[in-house]
Amino acid sequence: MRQSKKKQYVSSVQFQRAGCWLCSFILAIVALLSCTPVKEYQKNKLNDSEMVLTNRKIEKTELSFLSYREGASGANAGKSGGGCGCN
Amino acid sequence: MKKLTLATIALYLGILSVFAQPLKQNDSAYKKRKLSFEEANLISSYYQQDGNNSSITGGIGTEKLTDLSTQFSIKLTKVDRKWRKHTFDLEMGIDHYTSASSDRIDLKANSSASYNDTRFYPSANWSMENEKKGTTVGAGGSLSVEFDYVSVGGQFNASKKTKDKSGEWGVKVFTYLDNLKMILPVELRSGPFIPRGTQYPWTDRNTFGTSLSYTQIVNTKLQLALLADVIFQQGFLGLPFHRVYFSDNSVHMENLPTTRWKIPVSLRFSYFASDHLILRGYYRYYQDDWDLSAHTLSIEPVIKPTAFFSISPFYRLYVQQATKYFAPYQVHTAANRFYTSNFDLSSFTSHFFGSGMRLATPGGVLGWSKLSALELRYGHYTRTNNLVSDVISLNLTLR
Amino acid sequence: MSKLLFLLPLLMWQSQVKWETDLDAAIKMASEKNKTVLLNFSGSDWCAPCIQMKKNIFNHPDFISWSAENLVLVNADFPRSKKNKLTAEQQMRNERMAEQYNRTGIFPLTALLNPDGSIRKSWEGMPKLSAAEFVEEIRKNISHQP
Repeated sequence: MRQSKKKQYVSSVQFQRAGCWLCSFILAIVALLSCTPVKEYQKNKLNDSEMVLTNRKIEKTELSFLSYREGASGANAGKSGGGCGCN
Repeated sequence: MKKLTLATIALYLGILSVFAQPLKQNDSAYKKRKLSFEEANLISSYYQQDGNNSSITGGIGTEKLTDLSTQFSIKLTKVDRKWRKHTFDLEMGIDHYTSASSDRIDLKANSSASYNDTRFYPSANWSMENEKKGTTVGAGGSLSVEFDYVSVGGQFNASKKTKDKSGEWGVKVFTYLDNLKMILPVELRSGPFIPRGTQYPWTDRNTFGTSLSYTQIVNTKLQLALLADVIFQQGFLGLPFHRVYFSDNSVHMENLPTTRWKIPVSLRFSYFASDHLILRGYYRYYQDDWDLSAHTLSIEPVIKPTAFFSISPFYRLYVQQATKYFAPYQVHTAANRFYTSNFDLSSFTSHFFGSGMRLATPGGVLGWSKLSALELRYGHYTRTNNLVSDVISLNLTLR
Repeated sequence: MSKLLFLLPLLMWQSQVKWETDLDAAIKMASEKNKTVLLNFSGSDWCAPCIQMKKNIFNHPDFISWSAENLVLVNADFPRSKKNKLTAEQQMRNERMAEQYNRTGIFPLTALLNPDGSIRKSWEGMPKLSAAEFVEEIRKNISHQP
């Protein structure tokens, strides 16, 4: 019993390490990308409705259920906490 | 109930029709300053789930639930004397759900009040954009009301574009001040938790959060967003009708700490790969001080046969490490200070996949000139601890 | 069917409407012929209101017949798809026009120009007007000399 608890602890630490590693990896990619200036009239691709950097309006219901059925929430420009309905 | 829903929709459609009057000569500066209708959205969703780890029965038992939700929103804009653009978003949402497990708050009763319920959630948001300075400020309020839960929300936000306007910093502070009815499982009601007639005691849950965001245009085809939240919650953070069975088969109300810190960090990108393909991606790492952590990864290739028609299959992977306070049915002991058997907080992996479809024909979808876009989306969700759900949504955009 | 036959000559006529692609040449031409320049920014293969505006206003007989006599039409197109890609030279010309008249990237944007190239009047987005009403607005603006 004691041993299994220890195992769980180790895996949790490993899990967090993996997360940190992934985050720094992504930040490194972002830093490496060199940006070219884009004029407002050159944004016909960026302004496509499928290119928005937020969730779609139609995803609202599924996102609220995902936030009830899963422990994690937030950082998705959506709602985090409050307004329960946590059935 | 149905009557009320229809009446509300009719009322909103009435408001819409007033704003939808064609604005003649919308080009003159004077007219531009008038409040004008931008768009309206009608979103309707049907959700159903089934599983056998209901927290109401201590981590065993049915989690069958259905929910039908309808949201209607209108967006209005106005340019003021200083040529700043004001946007007003008004929204009304109604959910109607039936839950088989909520029926088990009283294990002996056939049907309790919470077997089905309705939630109303109106909200209003305002924002003001100063294009010259590249700044936006905004504020908003929201309300969510159901028979055992009331939530009042508020938010302030501000953003500023970088000098070359390719990047934008954003900050948002938000709060939800909630009140929940202490409806305990029938056999656990004692002392202050004994209802007086139909009057139950209420308790608080408050959420305070800050969101930081940075978006960057990389080139004409690629843009990225980085988001980080810090969220603090205090108050009653479990739910009063969640049972926990100890190893000695004694039954208790879920007991969780009265504070919780959550830190999610995410990255999102969208890439216009070609005329017929857009790639959308999202990754999030989440950690809280209940030792719950999770990775979320989602990818959505958007296939565009034409510029106005797209099909977007999606896949989302979620891997969660349980909170230290979780244990399943009859595993907790009296030695534990905090305990829950809520499987939403357990260790699991979930897969969510499906497809969306969007039609935005110039001149109106399906021959209706006011219908500027029609979107349909279906998703199937499976969790390794046997929870499955399906969700289907429809979004009509009127302009 | 008879309606279609009636429309046929109009459709053929409409294809004769010429949209210039060089603003400097158009301004010169306008002053020679005593006409006014109407400059239109469009995204011909992605911008739904641009497509609607072309269909409902610019390609309408009411607009075609009047504009032939009174306007020099200039189009600065910003197509998105590979198959509609403009020549590098044309793209540069269009971007120069946008740099001067459409820095905020509004599509469609239509501007009536003075002989010196300054904006006399502009319409952001698709005007919610019929072709005849739009013609009337242009006419009024031309007759009221500043």
